[in-house]
Amino acid sequence: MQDDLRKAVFCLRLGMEGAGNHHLATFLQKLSGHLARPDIAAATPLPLLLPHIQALVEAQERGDYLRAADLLEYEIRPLL
Amino acid sequence: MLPPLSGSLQERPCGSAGNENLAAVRRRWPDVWQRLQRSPLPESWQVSAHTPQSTLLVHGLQLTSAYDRLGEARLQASRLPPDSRNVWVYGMGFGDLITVLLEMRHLARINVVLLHPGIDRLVLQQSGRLDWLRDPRVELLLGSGQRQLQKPWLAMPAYLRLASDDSLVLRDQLVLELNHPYQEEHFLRLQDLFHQRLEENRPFLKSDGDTGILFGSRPEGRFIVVGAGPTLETNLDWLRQNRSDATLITVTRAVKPLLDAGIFPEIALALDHSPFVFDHVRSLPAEPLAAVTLAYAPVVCPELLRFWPGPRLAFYLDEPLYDSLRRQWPRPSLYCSGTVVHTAIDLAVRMGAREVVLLGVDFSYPEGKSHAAGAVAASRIAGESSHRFTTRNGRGRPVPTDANFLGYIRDLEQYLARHPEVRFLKRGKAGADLQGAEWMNEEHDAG
Repeated sequence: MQDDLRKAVFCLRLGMEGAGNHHLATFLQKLSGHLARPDIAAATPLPLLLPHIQALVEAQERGDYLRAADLLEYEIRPLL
Repeated sequence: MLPPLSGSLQERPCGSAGNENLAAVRRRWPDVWQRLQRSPLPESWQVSAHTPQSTLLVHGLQLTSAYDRLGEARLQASRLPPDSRNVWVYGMGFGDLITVLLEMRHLARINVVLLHPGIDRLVLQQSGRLDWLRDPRVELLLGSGQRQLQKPWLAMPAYLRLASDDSLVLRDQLVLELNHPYQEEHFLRLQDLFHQRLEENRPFLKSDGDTGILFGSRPEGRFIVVGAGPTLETNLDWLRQNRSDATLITVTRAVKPLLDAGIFPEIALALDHSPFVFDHVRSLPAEPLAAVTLAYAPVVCPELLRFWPGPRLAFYLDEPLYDSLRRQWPRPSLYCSGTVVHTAIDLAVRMGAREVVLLGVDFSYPEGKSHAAGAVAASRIAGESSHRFTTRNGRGRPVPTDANFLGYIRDLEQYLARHPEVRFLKRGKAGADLQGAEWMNEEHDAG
């Protein structure tokens, strides 16, 4: 999952949108599965994480890929 | 040691540092300065708030990282081949990438191509003193004067979305180049499926005809090539009135809208491996299709071939995948650069076309629609912002599109340029403009 996050950041900062979106989607899918585990969810600061995930999805939808990369690298990764 | 971060950004009138930046541009590149002066600033912009570093948001998109601009620039610069002497940087940004590149003493020249002079003027005005403007190794050039990417190159990603109209040709090439590795990887993953399909379709290849028998069969002919784009809807009446003296070639997804309108093509083309292609036609009655020839590439799903009641002719694409089949059952190769529409046009040309009219070849989402009404899985795109690229339509107005379509447009334009012997015409001005195809006058020209 962390590897998908790193690859997404790398690709998005270089404008490689196809690959960046692919790794981003993979990361979000894995994160969702990860957080479905009660032990993981309990140990994760969800009230901090979830707004960043929402902002990430919104950034991706509007094509704001550098914002998406910033959120992944500097807001979301430290919380995982 | 890297120089201090160039330009702390504030929303402010052009101060002395901004004036100095513009004066530096005027001294060194008077043509560029003139263009900057003529370029309107973006309609919507602001300096980022509540972020560790400042950046510009233009139409809601960050121009750079708002956390570590130089770190991002170092990542982008790391893609440069180590033995480079010159480099082309597409998009100016604040010059962070240029600043990083200037630390590379082996670089003799850094060519900075401006992809949106209005944004760049804003940056020059709003930033503090930008020392890189004064480095003799830096050259500023306008993107509007260029049509071909120069190598080696680096790109500022935000400009892929923000490039001005006269830089769209460069923008599209950047998008294609940046996404090419991912697309290649995607197709490599499908190779096993492709080989499986070729095996499944061998019995059909053995007995079906050769598309090559059509070549040269309509010398100096008039052809209409139909795609399933949304503008097909507004051109069905024209098609009905002009059908009789033309050969009608269609993609499979447009077959249903055509039959619903009482229009019958001569030839339908299929080349995609997806079983969804069968869905384009599976619900259609057999009788009208019995007179339609299906020209297909043998990676299509076998269900489509089993279903098709009319004649079937096979062709290949110019790919190594088909080499063994080519030796056993020679068939011609038709042109394709990602879409069956390309192949349909190439078939018309190979058949001897003097004139080809393109209908429903939109490569975009006019009015937010994906396909013509009646086409299988026609839908509305999820808000125009979800297809964040735009291109110009036949009326010069922006129309949403995506990276794949941009590639299809540019590759088709190159194809059209290779066939000056054919007159290409286009209907449906709400769809993407296509260099090399003349727009026909249309009765319905609203919007």
